[in-house]
Amino acid sequence: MSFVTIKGLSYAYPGTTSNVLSNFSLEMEQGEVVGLLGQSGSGKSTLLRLIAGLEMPKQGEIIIQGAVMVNPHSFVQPERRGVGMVFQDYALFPHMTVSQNIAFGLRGLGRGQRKDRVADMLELVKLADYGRRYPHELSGGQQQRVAFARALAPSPKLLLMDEPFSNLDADLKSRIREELKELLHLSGITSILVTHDHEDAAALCDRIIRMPSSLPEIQTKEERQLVTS
Amino acid sequence: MKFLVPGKIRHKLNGWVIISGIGALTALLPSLYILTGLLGKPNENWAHIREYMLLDYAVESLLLAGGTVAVTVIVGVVLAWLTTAYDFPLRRFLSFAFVLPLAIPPYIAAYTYGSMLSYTGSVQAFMRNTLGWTVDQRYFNIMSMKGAIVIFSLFLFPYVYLITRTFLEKHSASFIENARLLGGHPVSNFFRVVLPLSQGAIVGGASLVAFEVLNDYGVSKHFGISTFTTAIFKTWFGMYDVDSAIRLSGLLMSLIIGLFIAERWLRRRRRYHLPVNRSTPLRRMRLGRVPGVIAATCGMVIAMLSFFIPVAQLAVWAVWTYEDVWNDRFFRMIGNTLFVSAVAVALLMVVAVIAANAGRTWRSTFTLVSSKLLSMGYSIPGAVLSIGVLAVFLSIDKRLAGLYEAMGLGTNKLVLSMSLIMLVFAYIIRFLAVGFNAVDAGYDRIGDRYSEASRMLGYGMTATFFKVELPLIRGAVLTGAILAFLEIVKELPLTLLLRPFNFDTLATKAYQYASDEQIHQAAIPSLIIISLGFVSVCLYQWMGRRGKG
Ligand SMILES: Nc1ncnc2c1ncn2[C@@H]1O[C@H](COP(=O)(O)OP(=O)(O)OP(=O)(O)O)[C@@H](O)[C@H]1O
Ligand SMILES: [Mg+2]
Repeated sequence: MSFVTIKGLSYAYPGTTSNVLSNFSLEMEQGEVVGLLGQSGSGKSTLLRLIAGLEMPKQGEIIIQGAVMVNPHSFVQPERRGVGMVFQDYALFPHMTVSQNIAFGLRGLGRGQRKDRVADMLELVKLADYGRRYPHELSGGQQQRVAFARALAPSPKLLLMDEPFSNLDADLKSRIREELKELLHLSGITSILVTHDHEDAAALCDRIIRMPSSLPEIQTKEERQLVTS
Repeated sequence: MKFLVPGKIRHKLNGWVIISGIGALTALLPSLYILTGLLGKPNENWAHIREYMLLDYAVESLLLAGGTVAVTVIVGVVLAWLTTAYDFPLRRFLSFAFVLPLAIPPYIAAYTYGSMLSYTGSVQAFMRNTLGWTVDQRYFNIMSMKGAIVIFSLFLFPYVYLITRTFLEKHSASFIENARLLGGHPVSNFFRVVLPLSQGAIVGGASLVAFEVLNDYGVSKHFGISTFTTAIFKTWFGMYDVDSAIRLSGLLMSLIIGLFIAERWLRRRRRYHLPVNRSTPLRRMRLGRVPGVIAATCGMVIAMLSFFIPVAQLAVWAVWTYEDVWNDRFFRMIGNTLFVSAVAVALLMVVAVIAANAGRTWRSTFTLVSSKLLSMGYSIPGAVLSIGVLAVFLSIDKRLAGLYEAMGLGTNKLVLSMSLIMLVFAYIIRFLAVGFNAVDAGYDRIGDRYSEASRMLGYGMTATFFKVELPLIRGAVLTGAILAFLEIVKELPLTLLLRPFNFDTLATKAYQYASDEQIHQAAIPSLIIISLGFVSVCLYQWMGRRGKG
């Protein structure tokens, strides 16, 4: 049985009628890094938000490690899913230091353990000396790594990354890409990486899938009826 | 959650949404009560009121509101345009000074000017004794409809000014510079570009002014104008006819709802998508020497009349009456005011934060309607709201009569409706919108991303609120609290109607002195209210400036 199963997922933003995703399915093995490519507006971010539990699908189900996250009868809140996310704009909490940001998701650990884990994570992303800084005192690349460390710290079952390189310039990007590749392999975490850059995907991912573009052919039945009538 | 609700709702229904729903319904209760009052059978007194007085009330209310709106729109918009688009001597000082009148409640201004301009007042005394003029009394009688419109306009124009100016500063640069480049005459640019562009902002400011005027009791009473609000007071306290008072309230409320709808409608057709161009503020044009001096002089006259002169006069009176007024009882009264206001503000902000948070995470028609209802509370005149609240509390007391008896409080006791709880409750409903809007703006600024990040890291909505959102919106919560506090401190009609026996606040005390012909004694409580207002106006300005940076 696969580690992540997505079956027949459909979604439309509230107040809109056209589906952003229709009948989308995907299977992932444990430890697999899947690259998600697609045009702008094809629903990549939306898919990640659905997996994360930040949006609720109209139809379909998502199963992670045998546990149903969402189906027509149940919905697991995002904080209970064990899914980590690196946001496009990082969303580091501006009122907390780097260490506090990383420690944020470490609940239920003792003080000492938590400190150790934060130190490990800082080590992993090569920011050992930056724990006391605030996010605005870091460069873009450093912020990106903190966001990554923060998402990884609680050891999520699945890591979602939404265009993690889009805020970096080309030079920095190739360096960070290498680092991220190493990190992903070191941690062996199952992950989905959204990008619109083929090179990124090819360098980092075990498998690449393309989002179907949101052209008229994937209208729902009702919509087609509307158009023809 | 074990609620029997359709599939979709079940997932996100949580404590936050439920509490804000209950809050919205509670806030609605008094208004519903008032409106249903219109349906019942009228009593004899009502026939009399309808026959002889109702038309007057309606005409005077509309004249007063309409006249004030017209003047404030003209003054406010012209000043906003002048201070954003042109540079002239004293501009910086004036653009701040034009906001200051907000610190002076119109009822305080009314009795200050009323007394200053009377036969024994400082103005006529100066003319008689120092200049040796004999003056025609007719020119000095401001206790009339015209006088009331002038007073209201002088002290309410900042609403229009402030909203229009903020709008122009934020959005208009490119349009106006284009118009200038295309070579339009400045005056025609004003009418063809600036006015249509800022229609939404102007309507917003004007409706605030209209609501303030319809809410007013102090000015109309002092000047002897029979508006709906003064009529409600009269039927309630003069004739002890609560039924008819409710009926009047219902009518006034229908008027308000009409205004509310008109406002929405006027604004809807003008919802342009406007670019926010922070980077390029409008470049001000220098006025020539003569126009510059004229602009500065007119500006100074308005600033003097609408803030500095009344404050100076009050300061003089305060010195005269210092010993008479400043005593232990006065201290206790200040304590009262601060205590009730602080309690009401604290509760109000809790509700405001819950409602804003629920509305944000659970975007739906229901939360949208709730927030609209919450913001309507501000437009319901204090007198109307008081009657609704009183009616609701009386009926609760009636239901609880058995309980009171069992507690040994005696039969037919009115416990809740004689207590401060009722007053605090009414304050919360009336000023919730002030807090809510501030918090909502704060949430808008931080966006959803931080909260989502926190949810992804294992924290539920409540923990996320305390650990992430609250620290980030602290400034907005504080702003909302300060503004609401100020509104409550200077609130008059609602406090007069709902306060427990012998309970005075700064506002009621000032009003009471003034209506007892002890106008000089009213100076000290008035000045305290004004200085609190001054502080909050400054704070508000400062916050706005910081928010932009
Ligand atoms: N909050 C929203 N409300 C309504 N529609 C939305 C919302 N967010 C996104 N959409 C629409 O949903 C579609 C998919 O958006 P999404 O952000 O998932 O695309 P994307 O593939 O991530 O694009 P990009 O590469 O530009 O980030 C778009 O057409 C977009 O306009
Ligand atoms: Mg995207």
